[in-house]
Amino acid sequence: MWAPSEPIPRINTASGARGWRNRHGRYRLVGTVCGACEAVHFPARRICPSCRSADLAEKPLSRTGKVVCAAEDHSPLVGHGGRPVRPFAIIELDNGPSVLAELVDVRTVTPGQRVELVIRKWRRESNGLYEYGYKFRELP
Amino acid sequence: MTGVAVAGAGITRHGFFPARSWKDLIVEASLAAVADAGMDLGRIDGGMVSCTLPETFEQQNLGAVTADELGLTPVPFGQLVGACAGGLMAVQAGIRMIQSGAHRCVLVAGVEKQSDTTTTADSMLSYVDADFEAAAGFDFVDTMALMHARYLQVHGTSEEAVAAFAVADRWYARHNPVAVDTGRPDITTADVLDSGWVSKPITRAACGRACDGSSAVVLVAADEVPDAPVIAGIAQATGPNGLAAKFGHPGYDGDIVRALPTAIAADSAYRQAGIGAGDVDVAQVHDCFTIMGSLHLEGLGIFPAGKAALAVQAGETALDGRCPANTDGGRIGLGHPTGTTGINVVVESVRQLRREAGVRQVRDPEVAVCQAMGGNNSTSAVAVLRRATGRSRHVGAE
Ligand SMILES: [Zn+2]
Repeated sequence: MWAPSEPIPRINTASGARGWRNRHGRYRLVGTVCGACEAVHFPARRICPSCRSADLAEKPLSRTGKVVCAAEDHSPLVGHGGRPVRPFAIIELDNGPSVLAELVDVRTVTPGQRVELVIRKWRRESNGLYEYGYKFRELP
Repeated sequence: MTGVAVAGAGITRHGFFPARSWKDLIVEASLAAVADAGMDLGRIDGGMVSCTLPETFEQQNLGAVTADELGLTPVPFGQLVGACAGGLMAVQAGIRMIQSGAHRCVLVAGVEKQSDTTTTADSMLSYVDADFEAAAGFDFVDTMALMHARYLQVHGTSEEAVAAFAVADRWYARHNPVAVDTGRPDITTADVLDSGWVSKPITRAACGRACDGSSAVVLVAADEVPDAPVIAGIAQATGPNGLAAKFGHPGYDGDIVRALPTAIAADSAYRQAGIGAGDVDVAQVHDCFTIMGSLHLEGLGIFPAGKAALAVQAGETALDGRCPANTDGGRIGLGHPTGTTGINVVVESVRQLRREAGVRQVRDPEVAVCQAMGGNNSTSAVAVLRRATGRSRHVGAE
């Protein structure tokens, strides 16, 4: 007979290493800067899409930026609930690239609004670990 | 000209079918395509299968499994994945198989069994950027909500105009016996806008309908089937997969308000076919959400940038409009079994060019264009089909 204590089999359970590898991008917005053409990228890249140089160096990006365009998630994915509405936006960082991120401590988001980086819980992974990463909040 | 024709096309009913497996669906569509071609199944000497979510039924290696289910082993069969563009990319691969001279009759089939998992949004999540965008809690309705918001912001278009795509889709779908929405009543833009936010500004009725379904086409050299619609051009192009990465990307014009891979693929496909956007008599585009249908109509050059939603609202894509579009009901009305979708658009183009679409029939079409997108405009394929002349033809004859 089926016992509730029996583990539920799943095909894909993340290893601990998978989320850990991306920690610099998630916590500190570490991207790359191209030694040949000075283009700045996020996420970090291996080849520069502007000039195809492989001479890239890691670079923590600006913790502040402004909203390019915004939307509101009314049907959060499993593990991302807990808020009736999740505002999110494309945010153009002050020194270049844009990121897609959730906005916290704010109800409405408008283009042009200044925002700053905060670290918040993203989701619980299939291996049970909690993954944290960047979100943004309004700058006064 | 590719020198390849669609000898036969088949499609299953779209919807949720708990009693039917992916094998039931793909065998039904394949047999229908072969029967439509008036051929014996034994003539198939190669095949390609498209499926985006085989993890829903926990089976991979679908090329071999499909060949075996059809009783065709040891005929070579492969599987091609290109997100929701995979079906049309598989058709392109099938065309290359024939052009290579190694094959004479290729079956290309798409299948999806999305109802085999409980949450279809989660099952699509591995197509979003896994490291930074899906992990942060964003699925396709969220990324496309930003494209929708950006379109309104850049072009000043009304919500009503964007919503009109779903209204047009419903009319076609209610007259399509295999559509999810077959037989259902017409809707208004108010119905679309009042259906509840999924990810604002996208509402429930503005979404493509995840479902089960299969379709298939039989490809042969055009001179072997002089009565069959020919594929006059086909191409595929790529772009960055991450949504935010498109801003400032040298391969992406730095914004999300354009379907750039669609425009690049269309340019190539039109050149091969020797046509311009103005020659298109009927179009099938990737309306996984209302906004995406308009973005792709603009990518195909059928309407200018920022004008497609208004054109749809004005009835330009209706049956009596300037360029009827998504005449099978599209992803929103026919349904969106993601791996099948890129073949569905070919099936409908063939039906229209053979003038077998019944009440959905466009008047005397000669040129049909179809398109399928995968990811956040990270891949797009475009094909141009022409009506057969009924005369014997040779490669490059037109
Ligand atoms: Zn560079």
